[in-house]
This record gives sequence, C-alpha cells and structure tokens, in this order.
Amino acid sequence: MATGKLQEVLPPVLDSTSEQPTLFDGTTRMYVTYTCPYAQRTWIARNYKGLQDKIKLVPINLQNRPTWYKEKVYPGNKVPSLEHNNEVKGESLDLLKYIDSNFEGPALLPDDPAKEEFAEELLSYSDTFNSVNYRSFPQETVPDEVGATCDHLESALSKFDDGPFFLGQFSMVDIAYAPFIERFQNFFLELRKYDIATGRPKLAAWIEELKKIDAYTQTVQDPKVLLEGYKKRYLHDRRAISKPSIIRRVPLCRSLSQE
Amino acid sequence: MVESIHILSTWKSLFGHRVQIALAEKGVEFEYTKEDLSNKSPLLLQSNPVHKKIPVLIHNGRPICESLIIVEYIDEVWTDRSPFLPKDPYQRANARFWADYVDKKVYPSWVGILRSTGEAREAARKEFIECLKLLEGELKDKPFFGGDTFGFLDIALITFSGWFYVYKIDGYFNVEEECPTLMRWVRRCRERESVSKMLPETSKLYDFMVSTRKKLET
Repeated sequence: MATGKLQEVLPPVLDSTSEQPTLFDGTTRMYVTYTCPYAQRTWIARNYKGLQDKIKLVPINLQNRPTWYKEKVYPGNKVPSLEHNNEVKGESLDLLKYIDSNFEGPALLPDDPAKEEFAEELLSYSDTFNSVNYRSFPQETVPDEVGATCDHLESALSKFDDGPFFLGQFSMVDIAYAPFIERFQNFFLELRKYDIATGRPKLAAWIEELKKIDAYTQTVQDPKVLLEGYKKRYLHDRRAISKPSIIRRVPLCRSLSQE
Repeated sequence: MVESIHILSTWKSLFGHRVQIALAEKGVEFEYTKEDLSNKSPLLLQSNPVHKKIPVLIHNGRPICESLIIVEYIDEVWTDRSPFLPKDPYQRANARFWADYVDKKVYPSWVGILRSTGEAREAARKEFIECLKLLEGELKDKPFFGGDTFGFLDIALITFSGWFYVYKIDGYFNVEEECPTLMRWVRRCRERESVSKMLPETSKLYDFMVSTRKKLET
C-alpha cells in the first residue's frame, strides 16, 4: 500500500532568480508547483510508487517563473513536466500513464480489462468535472451542474465493490481526481456552505479513505493558503468591462455588411 | 409588402453572428443596430423583456429571441432557398441536438478560456478541445455537418471559428493541430460570402482578447 512513510524534506521553490539545474544529466526530474492540482497528480504517483529517490522533485514558482523553464526545459511552460531519458514530457494524465509504464513500484492500474476501460472513461470525464466546478466558483449559489458532476462520481464509485476507490483498489483514477475534489470541497464548504459529500455516502467514504493514503497526504498543501489563492483569483468582479461602446444607435443601414 | 427586418446585436456576439449569417444565406437584407450592453436601448428592453439579451430579430415589428430559435425562424420564413435543416425529422433532431450541445458545452468553456485564469482557464481549455473533438467526430468526412449543404449546425458552430485563429496566434492552443478535420471545415465555411462578410476581423477579436486578459491579470 502506501510506501515512504517518512515525510521527505521538500526542496525550496525555484523562481526567476534561480539558476537552472543541469539538464539531461541522467537525473530524472519532475517539475511541479506545490499548489498546482495538476502537478499534485504526478507528485502523488511518484510517492505511491516509492520513487522519491529515483525522481527528483523540482518545484518552481508559477507566479514568477524561471525563464529557463520555458526556454530550456518545457516549452509548454506549464507544470507538471517530467525530464526522463533525455526527454521532457508534459500533461498530467499522460504522465501518470508514463510513470506507471516506465518505473517500478505498485501498479497504478489493475490488470483487468473492465476496470481499465472504466478507468479511461473516468479519466476522460475529469476535464468536464474540473471545468464545471471551476466555472461555478464565482456564482453566489452553487449551481445544479456541480451536484450533477458529484452525482456522476457517486454513481461511478458504486461500480466496483472490492474497495472504496474508483476501481475498488487505489489507482491513478483516484490520483487524478484527488487534488481537485480536495480543493472543490474546501471551496464550496468554506465559502458557499455546501458540502459536496452530503447525500453522497460513497463520495464521503472515498474522501475519508484517501486521507489514509500517505502518498497523497504528503502532497496536501495548507487548505487556507489554497482557498486564499482562489478567492483572489476567482472572486473579485473580474468581468472585463468592455470599452464603452459608441452610445448611439447605428442609423438604419440597409446593407449586408455590419456597421 | 415591404418587409422590415432588423437585428439588435453587438460586434462580437457569437450568437448575433449566427443570425446575420442566416439572413445572408437567404439573401435577405436587414437593418442592424449596435447595442451598448451597459446601457441597453428601450427597443431592446421592449423587444426582449424576459431575457434582455441580444441578438433580437425584429421582423415586421415582431421580435424573435434566442439565436438558434431565430435561425430556425429565418429558415421557416424564407423557405424558397438555402434550407438550413433537412426534411427528415430524425436528421433535424440530430442537428438540433448538436447545436444545443454547442450552447451548453462549447460556449461555457469558451467563456472560461476568455475570462478565467490559472487552473480554471486550463480546465476550460481542456474541455473546449474535447468538445471540438466530439463535434469533429460528428462531422466525419462530410463537407458540412448536414452533408453537402451548409446548414443549421454549421451556422451554430462557425461563429466560434475566429477565436480558433485568435488562440493560435496567441500560442495558447492550436485547433488546427488538435482537430485538423474540423479546421478544414472552418476554412470551407469561411470561404462562403455570408460567413466572410458577417464574422468580425480576427485582428479585432485578438485585440479584444488581449485587453480582456490584461484586466484579468491585474
């Protein structure tokens, strides 16, 4: 199950003043930002497979990025990315699969075609789940579509009964959803007094079981800090105020062209 | 009878463009009033008291609201040319289903890309691309969504296309790479006079995107 019980000492964050590490020197590096949920996915996977010594964690400051990151490491300029065997790859879900295939340690997917197929479905669904929830943040009342996405997960959790996780046993599907469910639950609870787990017993149980997974708990950041970040980003009125349009009616113009 | 055909809209409204393209396809001339959404005209408020939104089509003094409803109305009034929907009820239902999908899924993720930041923006971008891929699957290798002729679903979706170019120039994502078949459909549609005349210049959209993002990043 969970390996690496000792809390590792987390390296300091690199920013625009930091020197670039030596690249392609045989060291496998995972570039993350401690607060980024996408990067947290790959970080959890690294921990779960016991790869703390094999994959070096390189945290960067997203608000004040080192320029060498985009220029020399990963042109996509996002986290997470993985430097391995002289190549750098990105996209967190792809990296989960890559790490599972290319490194030793407990498997992140069970060897069962039905479960593998279901895993694909749920991994595909994760973008919609995230998108719907994020866009609900500015709304005063939590819209129905949030509940609908949580219902979807609740019913997914009923599919396999050989364990409390999405595929029964802990897998990359749980890893994919954990950082986001953690943030969404906290946000809606603290700011909207809405608990996504209410009326969803399987989801509630999943959340509790997740807290027993060391590989995950080692990556959890201070929820207050995360919440402040979200409040700042998503809660002040950011609707772009368009430049005031010409306050006159365009006189009736009988033509096919606009204006 | 002299017809009075009048659109209330704004220069960049994706929904307004649908109505403009639909009328142009039918070869119908119209009057156009540019609304200031921070100061809506009495005509707009009278014409659409329920939603107070644009676009509105006022045809011989009677208002029609909601862009897809307006497009169908146009198809039902000017029946002698360029039908937007096939005759078969099942195919019509299919076209309407996907146009509704564009409104329910493609539009909100487009808003997210334009108006949010950080993780929310990234989530919106991913969803946007997935929606486009699904639509690309629906298109398959047909010239247009309905088959050989430009129609309802083409009109519903093509108005997003300027933004594909905006984000490609911006370097944020490239629809051409993600959905090459869809991009060929985009180019095919944008060659049509109705589309090329009614969609705003990409550079104007780009400037709007830049100024929106500047305000968000402060």
